[in-house]
Amino acid sequence: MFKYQAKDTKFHSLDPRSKFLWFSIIALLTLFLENVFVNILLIVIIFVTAKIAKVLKQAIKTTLFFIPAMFIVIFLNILLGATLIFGVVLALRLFIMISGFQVLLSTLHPSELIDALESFNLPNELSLSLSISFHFMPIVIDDIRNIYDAQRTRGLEIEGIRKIKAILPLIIPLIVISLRRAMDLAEALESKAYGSAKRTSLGRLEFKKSDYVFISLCFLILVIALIVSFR
Amino acid sequence: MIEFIEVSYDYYGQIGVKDINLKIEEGRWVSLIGANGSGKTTLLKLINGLLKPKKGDVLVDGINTKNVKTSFLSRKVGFVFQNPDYYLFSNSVLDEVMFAPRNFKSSDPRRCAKEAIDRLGLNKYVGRSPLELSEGERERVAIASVLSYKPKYILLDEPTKGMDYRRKLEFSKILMKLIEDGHTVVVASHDVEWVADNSDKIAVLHKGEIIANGPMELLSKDVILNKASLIKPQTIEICETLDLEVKCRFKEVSKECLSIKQKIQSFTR
Repeated sequence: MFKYQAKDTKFHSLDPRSKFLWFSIIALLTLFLENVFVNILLIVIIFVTAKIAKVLKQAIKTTLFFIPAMFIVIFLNILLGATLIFGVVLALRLFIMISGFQVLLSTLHPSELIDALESFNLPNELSLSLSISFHFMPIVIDDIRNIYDAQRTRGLEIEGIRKIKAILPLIIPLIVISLRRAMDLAEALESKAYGSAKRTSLGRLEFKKSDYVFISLCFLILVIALIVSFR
Repeated sequence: MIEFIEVSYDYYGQIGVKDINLKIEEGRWVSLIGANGSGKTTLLKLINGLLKPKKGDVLVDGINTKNVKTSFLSRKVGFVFQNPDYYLFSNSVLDEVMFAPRNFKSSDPRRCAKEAIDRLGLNKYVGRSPLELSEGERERVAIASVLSYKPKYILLDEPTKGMDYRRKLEFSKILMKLIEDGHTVVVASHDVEWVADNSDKIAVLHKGEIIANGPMELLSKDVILNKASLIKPQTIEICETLDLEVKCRFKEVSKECLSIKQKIQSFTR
């Protein structure tokens, strides 16, 4: 989940800024337009992109994991007096953000992510922290699963009302493991003289012909979505 | 007895284990060896129901793991994970080791915990937080926390990681004592030397399949070792160099060497 997948595809070879633009347009459209058809169109676009980038399996796996959360969103909205359509739109937004983010992170190498963030004039410390936190997500998810399994083998019941009681044996190991890993990482960075001089980059980001075509397509989608929703 | 019948498991299309047929008898030390990603941990997780087979059946004392919860199987099957930090959360080592006996409603959790702490030589750390111990010590606390409820089958994933040679010897003695007491030990390990010195049987895994299963002497076969990317244990190397019958345990090999030495001495006299 949210793990980079090294694949030889046209989408992987795009400039990281183009991929950021793709995700930004999708995120903005889903956040600002309440039209159900636009949201369905965005889902289709995300999954077609995932298919082209050969990360469809990961995208489906991640979104399926969050399906219960979507039902909770719909249920809570109905409970609080909102219409069913509004609840569905909110759930679709969650669906789009998660699946889009999954496709973005599966196709964006950590170093590409840093390069892209730095090209937006973000300080290196900030772009490195952001990149690390994005790419630590799958590791933390693995940790949660392993801690859950380890405590279950020691007889911890994690079902029904007992879930509340089970929080401490799950949360404390997760915090300890994450802190230990963060300290190891900080030491590794320091031992490689991180921060001792201004960093330079090996590769330079450059838009290719395929990027211009892709960006044009992204803007075309933006225009179509705006026409559909304001017609 | 633990029995694998035509068991296969995959992680979303990626092979975990494939067509496994294996019987693990009671009161034995069985080791699963193989390179990284060969399926050792998957096999262990299938035994205590953390993973359910996608094909075939795993039977633990006749109970199909598909039909019962992990928390039920855990009373019989203890699992020690590779990373001790997955367990530790209590304020003291004693509380940590008492955690499982309490969950399993043991009649005297404190006594069970003290016994396990004694076995693992952790007496001087009883009141200390397990989180502030060294990695080797944390590993021992994790093992004690599983031994405390005395499961019939004890599964250990890379248990010698972070242990020095002396600690490994002590740990082997603890496991041997458990086997004497009627427990069954199943170890997944890279540590071929340690495995060769202690196990009764081995199963060699390669890309999710068992390529050899039987007595320790299988570790002398180059074909198996090369396929599984393993190095021959030193004891077997010594036996082959001295043209002796293949033996895996250090004690047996040193006994053989001693008798050769005595023969040479008597001949030269």
